[in-house]
Amino acid sequence: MSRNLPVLVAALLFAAGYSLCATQFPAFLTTRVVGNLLTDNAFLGIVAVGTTFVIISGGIDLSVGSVVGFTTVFLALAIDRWGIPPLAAFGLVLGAAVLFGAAMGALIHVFEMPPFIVTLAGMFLARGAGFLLSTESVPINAPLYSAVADLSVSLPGGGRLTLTACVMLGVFLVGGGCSTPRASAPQSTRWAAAATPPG
Amino acid sequence: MRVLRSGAPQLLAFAAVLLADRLASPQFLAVHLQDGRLFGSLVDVFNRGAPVALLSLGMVLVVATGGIDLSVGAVMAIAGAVAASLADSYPLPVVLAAALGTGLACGLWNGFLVASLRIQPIVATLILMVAGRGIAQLITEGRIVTFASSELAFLGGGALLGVPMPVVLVLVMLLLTLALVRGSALGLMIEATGGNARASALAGIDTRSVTVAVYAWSGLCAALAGVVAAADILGADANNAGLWLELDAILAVVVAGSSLLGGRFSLWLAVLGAFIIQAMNTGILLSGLPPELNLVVKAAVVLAVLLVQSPRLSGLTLLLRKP
Repeated sequence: MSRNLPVLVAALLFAAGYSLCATQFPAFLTTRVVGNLLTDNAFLGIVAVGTTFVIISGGIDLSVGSVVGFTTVFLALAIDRWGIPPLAAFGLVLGAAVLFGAAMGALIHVFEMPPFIVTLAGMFLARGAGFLLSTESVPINAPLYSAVADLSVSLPGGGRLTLTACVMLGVFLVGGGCSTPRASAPQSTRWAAAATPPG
Repeated sequence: MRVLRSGAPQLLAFAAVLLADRLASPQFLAVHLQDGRLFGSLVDVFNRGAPVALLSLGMVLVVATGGIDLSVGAVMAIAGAVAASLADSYPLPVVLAAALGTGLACGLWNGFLVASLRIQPIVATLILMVAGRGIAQLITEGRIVTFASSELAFLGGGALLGVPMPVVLVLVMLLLTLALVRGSALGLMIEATGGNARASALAGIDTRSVTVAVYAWSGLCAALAGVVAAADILGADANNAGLWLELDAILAVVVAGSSLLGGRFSLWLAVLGAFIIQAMNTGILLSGLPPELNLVVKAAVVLAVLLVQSPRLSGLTLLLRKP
């Protein structure tokens, strides 16, 4: 029970907040708002799945925001300025980001460095790399982007479940499947032991 | 002498960064006296680095207990807002007492969350980090509050015997903190709490009071940094004062060789760490390289410092030294 308590509290808070909004704005209960919430926060949900795994291992990853920033700048430049086809650019940037995360993980594990500082350095590096690529907003005009934005399943009540929302839900399901303990409980690293407050 | 030897890597790093700055800008080391105040890029490094140096003085103690204080940037904004709002209608002592008292209260709140409610430090101080900017905005009513009080402005732009006031304040706080924690057994208790809280408690150390005290001190230092930042620009900006400076302060503490897991600390090295970071920032600006490079260089330096301090690498050097 105590294991599920935080989840329960979070769910209750969400329900309470949503009901409060619904009493102020009745349209909040329509599928249109639900669909838009999922679409607008898809990037946050996807990042949260990844960070969950880091936190399960007892670490922390401060660099995620900067990596999101770097990824967007890189994609915009790669597609619009360098003429790389969008799908190839996706693969390229996903691979680069995975390598970046793996490099930070390797530093933390091999050199026994604190995750907080390693990922802080990673945050500086990714933000700095993004700044070096471009300090301006770069528009993306590739037709694929508007096509993807339009791709959606209609929900009853006028709402749209977009592809981005579906990707988020998919990542969530895959992440949930991977993190459910089967035979053994999740192993905590030495950093988990150090994360308990003094006193 | 022992103190100097323990800080040799940091002193060498500082010298190397200053040398690089000198190579990037020939007038870097030129210092001249004008209107009773020292001017020059080197003086600027200390002057601009002062807020982070003040933050790191509090941060290093928090980190020594195995905690972390993410709220210092927001506390800076709150204290700056308080100081700027009161500056023109109250005498300086009242303004300072109000601003520093606010910072102390913020620190006590953090200490209460960590020591009494046993919330993880990173989460406990995250609360004030997020909420603090909102509190500062409530105080300034969403505007950038400006003031004309020359007394308060003196703390940011004035000079004592030619030394800029922010640097004087850093020195005063460094000596005060040193006297408090190294002049008594408090420093030992802080390190003991960080080393093993349970064993320290069993040995009779009041770990809860020690923990509350270090967060309170961190809040006080952050408030002073906020007052300096506000005095510097003759105004309080709730959105940008102290933004991301908590990360610089943590960085300074790490550069100082303090373990983030707690158990050991050095106050003067933390201050030196803050000045090393500022010397790098100033150097990149002077060299004419794109300022965007700043973050990349910072990341590289952090990694280098971490590699040097890595337990795995020091194990290697021990192995090499043995035969």
